[in-house]
Amino acid sequence: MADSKSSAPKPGDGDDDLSTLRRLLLRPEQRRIEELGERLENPELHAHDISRVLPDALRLSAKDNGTLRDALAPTVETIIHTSVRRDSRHFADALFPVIGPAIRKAIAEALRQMLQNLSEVLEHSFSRRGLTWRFEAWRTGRPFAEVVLLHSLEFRVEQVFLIHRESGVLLQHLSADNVAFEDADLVSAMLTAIQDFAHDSFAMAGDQALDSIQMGDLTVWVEQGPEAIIAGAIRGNAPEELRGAFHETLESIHQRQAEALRDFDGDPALFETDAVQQTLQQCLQARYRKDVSRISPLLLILLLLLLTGGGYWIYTELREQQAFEAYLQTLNQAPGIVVTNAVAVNGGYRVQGLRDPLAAEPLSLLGKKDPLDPQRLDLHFEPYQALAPSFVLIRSQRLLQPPETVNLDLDGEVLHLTGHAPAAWISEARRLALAQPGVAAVDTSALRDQSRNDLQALQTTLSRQVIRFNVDTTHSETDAQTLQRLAHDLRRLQTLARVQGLQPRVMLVGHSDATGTAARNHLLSRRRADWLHEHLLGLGVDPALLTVRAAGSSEPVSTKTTPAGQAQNRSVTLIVHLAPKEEADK
Amino acid sequence: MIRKKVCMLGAFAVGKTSLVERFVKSLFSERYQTSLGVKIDKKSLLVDEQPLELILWDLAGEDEFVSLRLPYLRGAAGLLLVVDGTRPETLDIVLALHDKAIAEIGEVPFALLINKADLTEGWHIDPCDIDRLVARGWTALETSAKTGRGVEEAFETLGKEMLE
Repeated sequence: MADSKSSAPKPGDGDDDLSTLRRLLLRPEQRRIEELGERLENPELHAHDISRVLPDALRLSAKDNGTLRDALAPTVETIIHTSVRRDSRHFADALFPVIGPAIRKAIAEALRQMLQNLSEVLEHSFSRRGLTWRFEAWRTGRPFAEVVLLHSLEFRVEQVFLIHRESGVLLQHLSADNVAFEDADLVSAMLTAIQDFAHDSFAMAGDQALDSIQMGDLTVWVEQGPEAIIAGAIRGNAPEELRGAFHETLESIHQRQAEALRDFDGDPALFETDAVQQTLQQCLQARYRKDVSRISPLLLILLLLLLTGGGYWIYTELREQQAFEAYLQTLNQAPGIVVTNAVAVNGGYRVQGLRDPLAAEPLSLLGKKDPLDPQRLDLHFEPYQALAPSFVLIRSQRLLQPPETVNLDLDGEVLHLTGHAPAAWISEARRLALAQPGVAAVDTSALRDQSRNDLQALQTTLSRQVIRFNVDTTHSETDAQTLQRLAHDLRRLQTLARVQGLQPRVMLVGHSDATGTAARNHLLSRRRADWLHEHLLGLGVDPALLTVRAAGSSEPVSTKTTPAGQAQNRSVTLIVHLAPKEEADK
Repeated sequence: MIRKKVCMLGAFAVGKTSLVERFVKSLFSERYQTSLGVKIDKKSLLVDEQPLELILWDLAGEDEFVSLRLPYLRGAAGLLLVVDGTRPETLDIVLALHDKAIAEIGEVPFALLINKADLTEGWHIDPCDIDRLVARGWTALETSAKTGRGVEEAFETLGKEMLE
């Protein structure tokens, strides 16, 4: 402008010509300029123009960077504020379709979270482990949540920082749930400063850098890249493979955001994308101990002892119980014992019932090796009479007092008496036995009278009696004792026969050997019989009992011809005859 | 939200830390400055309606015993040079530091803060020196750690320059 002014011709000098020339030369341009001017000054036209380019301009701007968005944000916010203040219904109507699902989603999420928390609380509250931790929290004064975390956590990456390497400016920061953290911008810068400090202070060479900072159970791992670094704050003992994950994440970010990293000028918005977040999320790992509870050996031993003790106790109890039941069975099976009540009382057993005095002693039924302690038995038995056959028999024995020759036997309720006994006892026994409970009838058919027996025996004895004589003599040298016994037997014979209602006759038969004449022998035998007859009468034998007969040698006692046989034939024998009294009287 | 690293440089005891402390968000104790040689704070501000976050690396003041840890300068998008108005030598030191910084990271926007402005009577820095710097295109601002005067403007000025 200044130059054009200085070189312009003086006023009045061909001015019109110039105007004319300008008009001629620049007419179309001038008109165009006027049009443009009008367009610019006329708001209607201007708005029309802008409306045509605005959509494209907005699209371009959104693509380029966030300037337009940032510029528009305050205005849009104001518009929304004003609109809501003016009439909130429009907004309510607009939000109506989305607000329901949004609330439902929020409630569902809150419920899910609550359930999860509840289950954790339950697990931590009521398990043995939980109670131990609660005690530890109480003892150390630390919050329970912290104790739980410390025990169950193997490691957890609590925070991840993606930091611009050169400036230390934070590009992206992620943290695990429920982790309190300080201003990430400052921490990021400070981490970088510490890195620089370490590198500078310890004169590390080239790319060497601080890659780990340890504070108690918190470790900060730093993974270096050319343009950015990843720092992770890890609680617990992180495994080495985690470093691999850090490294991969950093590589991936370098690959995808190479340009943004290189040209970074302080705008982290480029890294606040979902892609970067998802990549970084891979670093937010955590691992919990599957099971930190281990049963202590002491507890195991204690349990084992308890189990053994308990098992032994149960075993002995069971054994004793079984023994007691077996004993009860034995008692009930024993004749003359009836158990009416059996209960376990105060660590022992009380047994009540009835017992026949003839029955076995209850304690004697307990085996010597029986596990049941007699001291623990409390036995009460009332006496009674049992009708067991064995007892009826015993009682019958006691009542009847039978002689040895009598045998008692019980068949059902019939008492059988066998053997022989005095008639008086027999008749008494018949009467008494029926008074005995358990005896309905008495059978004496096999019981013989004692006296009849004796009589027969005596008859036999007398029939075998041989009173010997020497050759050709009529006086026996048989001793007086034998003769006296013979006389006694004869007297007894008479008594017994009389009891039986029999009439006895005893014939004294004289014998001789075969030597000599028959007449002589007959005489000899006669005299020998007479000799005995006389002697017996002398010894008090009833004369009515005795008769005499001479047999000579015709009825030899022995048929042997030896001297001993002949000696036997020189004798007197007795023939006893028993006849019923009436018959005898006839 | 743009984030920029800004380094604060100055001689020992020029009051850098106390100058900004009431304007920034601090997390770390001042002790780090003596041990690590740097203290990190954050300043959030709006520059032409645009939110800007300055990560302030408050580097330990340089004197004959402590020298600047140059690695801390890497990646800085701006510098705040602080001098003590009552100690003319601090201006020389900060100029030297600035040169070092340029050598390390190249030219970046910066602002010169002349601190302790409330002690104007005690100023010993020759105003001509300042004027000469301003004439060379420097931004020089008078600030007061006591009243906070000029600090916010200093951040805004630097912020604006960095965003251009």
